[in-house]
Amino acid sequence: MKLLAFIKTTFMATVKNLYSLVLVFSLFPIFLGLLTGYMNEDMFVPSVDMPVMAVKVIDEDNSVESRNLVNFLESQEMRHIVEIKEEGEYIITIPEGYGESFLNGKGAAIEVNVTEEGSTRQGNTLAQIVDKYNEERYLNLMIEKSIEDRIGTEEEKEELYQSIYGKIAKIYNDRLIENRIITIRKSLTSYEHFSITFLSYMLFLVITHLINGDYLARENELYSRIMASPLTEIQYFNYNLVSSYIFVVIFNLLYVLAYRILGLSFTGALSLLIAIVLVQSLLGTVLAAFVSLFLNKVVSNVILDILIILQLLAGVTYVPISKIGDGLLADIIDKYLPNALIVRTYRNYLLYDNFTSIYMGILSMLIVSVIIYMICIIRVKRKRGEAW
Amino acid sequence: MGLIEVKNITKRFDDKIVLDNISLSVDEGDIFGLIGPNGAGKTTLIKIMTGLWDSNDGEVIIDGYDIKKEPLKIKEQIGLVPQEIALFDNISAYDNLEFFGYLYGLKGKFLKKRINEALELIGLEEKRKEKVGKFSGGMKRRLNVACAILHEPRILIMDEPTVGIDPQSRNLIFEFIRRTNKEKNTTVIYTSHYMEEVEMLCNNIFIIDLGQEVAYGNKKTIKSMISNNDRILLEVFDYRADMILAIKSLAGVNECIEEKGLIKLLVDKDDFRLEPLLKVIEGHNGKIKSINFEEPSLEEVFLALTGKNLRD
Repeated sequence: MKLLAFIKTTFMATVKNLYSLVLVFSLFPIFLGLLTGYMNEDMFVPSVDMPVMAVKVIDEDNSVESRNLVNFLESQEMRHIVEIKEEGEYIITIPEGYGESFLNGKGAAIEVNVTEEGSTRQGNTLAQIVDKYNEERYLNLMIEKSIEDRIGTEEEKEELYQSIYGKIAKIYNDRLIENRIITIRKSLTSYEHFSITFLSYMLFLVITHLINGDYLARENELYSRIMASPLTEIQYFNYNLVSSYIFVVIFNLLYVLAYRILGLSFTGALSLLIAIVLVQSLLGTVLAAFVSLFLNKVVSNVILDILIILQLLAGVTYVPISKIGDGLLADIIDKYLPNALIVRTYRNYLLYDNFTSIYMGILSMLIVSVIIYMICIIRVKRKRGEAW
Repeated sequence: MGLIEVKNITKRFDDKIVLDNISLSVDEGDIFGLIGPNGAGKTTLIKIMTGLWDSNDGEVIIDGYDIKKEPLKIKEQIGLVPQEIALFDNISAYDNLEFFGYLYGLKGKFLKKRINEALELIGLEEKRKEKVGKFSGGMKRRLNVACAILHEPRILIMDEPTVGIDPQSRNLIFEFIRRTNKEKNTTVIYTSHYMEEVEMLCNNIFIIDLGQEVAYGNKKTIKSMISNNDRILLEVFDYRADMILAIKSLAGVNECIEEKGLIKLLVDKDDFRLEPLLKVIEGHNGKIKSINFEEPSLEEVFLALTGKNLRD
């Protein structure tokens, strides 16, 4: 019943203040996301709606490998991206020695030229596809070579060779390579990118709201009054956490589902989306609890404001940043921003839309949440009977 | 042994002692006043008594339970009205009451009944569905009290419950305290820096200043601590002029002043007798219109004991 009291009160408070809460935690960040998404649309590579590229291939090598590449570009799964023609908007030149370069380990300098009719953005995508193909091909050949170098009878080597070769021969029909090619092809639209950026922003706002609620409860003695009832500190902490968690989940879901209904982002599998929302909300909730337990009001608000600005800056300036130092700065930001884990998980969800791609993100968020929760519990036990 | 036993409580914040060896005892059914200026240590003492804070030394025993060892058993019996208005502003009065009812294990029809009774008691039945944030200060204060009494606590601790409210709300709270004390034998601990409130409500009083006991006992005992004199105000007419001299010569009369038809006497509690005074008045053809005995106020007691005003 006590837990129910907390949940019901949070729910009632949410319902009674729904307009203002939805405005602050849903409409405002969604509006900002849509606005920045619209304004930056041209800076992002379009994905699934990308028109088929007319490509002319000049094969100066005329080797088995160069023909393999041409076959790959002509394969079934590439047809909705590339169409090989006599005259094309894009010209791929396979230089002489391309096949040899796989064997001697030197880079195969395939040229992708964009004609006046073509788009540089799509040309880059085409170059990325070719690069990825080369990587895959090179990797497979290296495996093949390492088998060749193994000690064993010629029959065994032949058997292994045939086995691997058979697999490589299947390369164009293999789902693995298909998935990876889709990986290259798919990149976030500006709306998707900014939906994640402003989701983080919204999450920070919600965390700030929860933390300030905690401080207020202590300042106006609501906390004292609740603790004067037959309730332990741990019970209070847990009940408060659960009710806050529900609050965070509600606003997270409102945000992502609004984008989903608009068809602009979070359009992958609903079950995966809900899984991320549930885990990410948990992380947000325990973080809020952690901050309000360990920091005073002024310090925590300053830190949160800085984090909000940092993550917004990183999100909004992502495209220009990704061009600095060969993407090094963007990589650093990707890895070390406080919301990196959340951003990466949502990005993987949007790009790949499968459990494998978000599994690590979800697991990491869960582990971090559990660790933070344990630290909080220790802190609550130690603070028992103290003035705060 | 009292229902509440506070024994040698000391509380320090870093090096600062905020409660210094405080001991008191409250009997069941008593209305006990805890008075002192702001920052005297009243709220700290209450937080220790309700198990919110731990003391550095000493113990609090309520109904035989030690607050440090069995806080939940004690908390079940207590209703706390905090100094601040400790309510959820963004939900209704009904929802606030329901929340605290749940915390004390009330549920179902009984909870609804108690909520309705509490709302009626504080005169907020009409406002039950309104958001508390829209309430006036007085209404919030009344609801602040109602949240503490929902579970019919054996002990009601009220920490300055009337700060900044209108006379109507104040009277409602006083009426409620007297009623609940009389009808349900609820033990009330009432803290305030308004002496007149404590004087009006409480039987026993503990005066605290700078974390230390200044005075403790029933009202009479405390008042007798500062003076052995009582004041008598007489309204007499048609008396002869020499009556004042005759009164001055009576045993136990330390002072007699005539002022605009009012005779003010300062008399010794032990030596003074009323009968000779009445005889003197009668002997001088005086007709008594009124006679009043005045004790020193608690405000005067506090001033005499600490050298400062309570609201300094």
